[in-house]
Amino acid sequence: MFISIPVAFLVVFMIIPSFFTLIPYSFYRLEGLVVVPEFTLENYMRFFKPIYFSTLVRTLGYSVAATILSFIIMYPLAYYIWFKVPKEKRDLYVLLVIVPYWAGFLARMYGWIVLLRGEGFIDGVLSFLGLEWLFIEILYTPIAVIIGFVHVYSPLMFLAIYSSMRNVEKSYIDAASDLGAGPLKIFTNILLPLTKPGVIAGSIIVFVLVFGSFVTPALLGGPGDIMLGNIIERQFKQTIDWPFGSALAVLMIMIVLSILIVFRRYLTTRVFVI
Amino acid sequence: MSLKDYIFRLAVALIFIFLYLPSVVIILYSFSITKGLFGFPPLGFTLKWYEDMFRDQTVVTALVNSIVIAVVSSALSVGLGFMLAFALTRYRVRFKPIIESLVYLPMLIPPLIIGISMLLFISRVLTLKTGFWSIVVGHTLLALPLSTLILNAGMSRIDKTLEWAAMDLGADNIKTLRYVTLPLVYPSILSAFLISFIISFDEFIVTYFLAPPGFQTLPLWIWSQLRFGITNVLNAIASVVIYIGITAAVVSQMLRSRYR
Repeated sequence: MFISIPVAFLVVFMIIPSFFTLIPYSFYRLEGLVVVPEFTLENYMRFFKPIYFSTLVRTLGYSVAATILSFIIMYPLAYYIWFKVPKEKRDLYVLLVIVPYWAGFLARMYGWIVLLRGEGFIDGVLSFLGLEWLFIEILYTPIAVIIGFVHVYSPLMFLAIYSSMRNVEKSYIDAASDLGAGPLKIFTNILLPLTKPGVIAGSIIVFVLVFGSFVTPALLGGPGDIMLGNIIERQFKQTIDWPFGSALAVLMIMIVLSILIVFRRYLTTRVFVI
Repeated sequence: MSLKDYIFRLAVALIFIFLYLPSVVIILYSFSITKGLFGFPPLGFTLKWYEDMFRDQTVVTALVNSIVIAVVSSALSVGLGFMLAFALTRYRVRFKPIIESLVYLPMLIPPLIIGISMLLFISRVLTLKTGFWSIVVGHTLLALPLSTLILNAGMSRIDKTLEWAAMDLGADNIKTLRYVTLPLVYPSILSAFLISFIISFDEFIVTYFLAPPGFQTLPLWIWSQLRFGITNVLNAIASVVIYIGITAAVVSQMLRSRYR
């Protein structure tokens, strides 16, 4: 039938490579430069060295930070567009939030390099205003990495939150406010519960995408700011220790898949298409 | 308006500045003549960097490769996405939830994983060399979730009675598809094609693992500049990527919302 062609495509080029090739490979042994198909747990054992473990912790830290920051900036924006923008202009605003997402991934990284570098654009603006003492020195630090992540993935957080926000009617908020609820109470007792599915979906999406990254820390971070993805990338591009790289990749997939499975009921397709 | 509203508006304006500033800065520098690479403020107006871009043979080759890969993989992802959306909206499909999660997985699995597992599979299991076709397949995989989503939404929106009417009047399945369904979902097809195009055109990670030595695409070229030394031409090239991405995204969105 019709559907068997795309399903076969996905099985052959996604499922077989990632599960039936990567997983066996992670148990193979590397002798010199040759991969020997003999069973070993060595690759997984190596992970428990402090340097790899601390990288995993840092990777989780970036993911959590980027998720929280994306929520902090995109929740008010979704609220604003749904409740404060006139109906006929809403779609335009939504489009304006998503457009930067498509404006070139590496181009955006490059934009941040230009903005944040010493004597870069932001420093230029500051010195133009006579505010030299405010000079920022954050390129090649974890702060720059997190800024990059928030910039890249927060539009997805927006889409998820907005898709939930659309179910909230203005009258709920007015009613609560008439009955004497303050802004904080309205947020915690009405808005947040009603938009919870979107917030969870957005958080999962941002968390998972940041967790699997390697390009952003490679370009915006310093040598000590690398993530799990950077170590995997190195095993395939520089060290050529594919079995060890595979073991780390298996670890990464397992973490990502468990998150996706636990929260699967929030990851409806509605989240992505506005 | 109260003070609170003004503060809210200011915050919203700041968020939009945050979202647009990196692209705007690159575009400004792509037209400016400044001392050094990034003197402040970006001054003057020139098209020199754009001209240089087309004079640089490596860049032109990379651009052509990127476009060809994007066109082929978009055609594939729209074709496969159409089959999926058609089956999922028209027929009772067995294992529907499993198939759906399978289809949407490439959107949430790290592209790094897709890149290295395809590299392992193609080079070690199939013992083939990776290259043009493996990159096309990788990009098709990455674009498939969104193209299926867009087509799915488009297909469930059309009035099914029109298809039934055609069949009552004696059209077979193929004729109904050709003369009724396809013209009706045409905007969604175009929309899905544009999104797939931009996903592929801008794709770096999977390409990075599958490209054989010497093979260039635009993102690979930008990456090597960012890692090993920036030239003024980069501003023009990054700007071109931004223009293409924004245009594709806006047109794709308009195609979808007009027929809602």
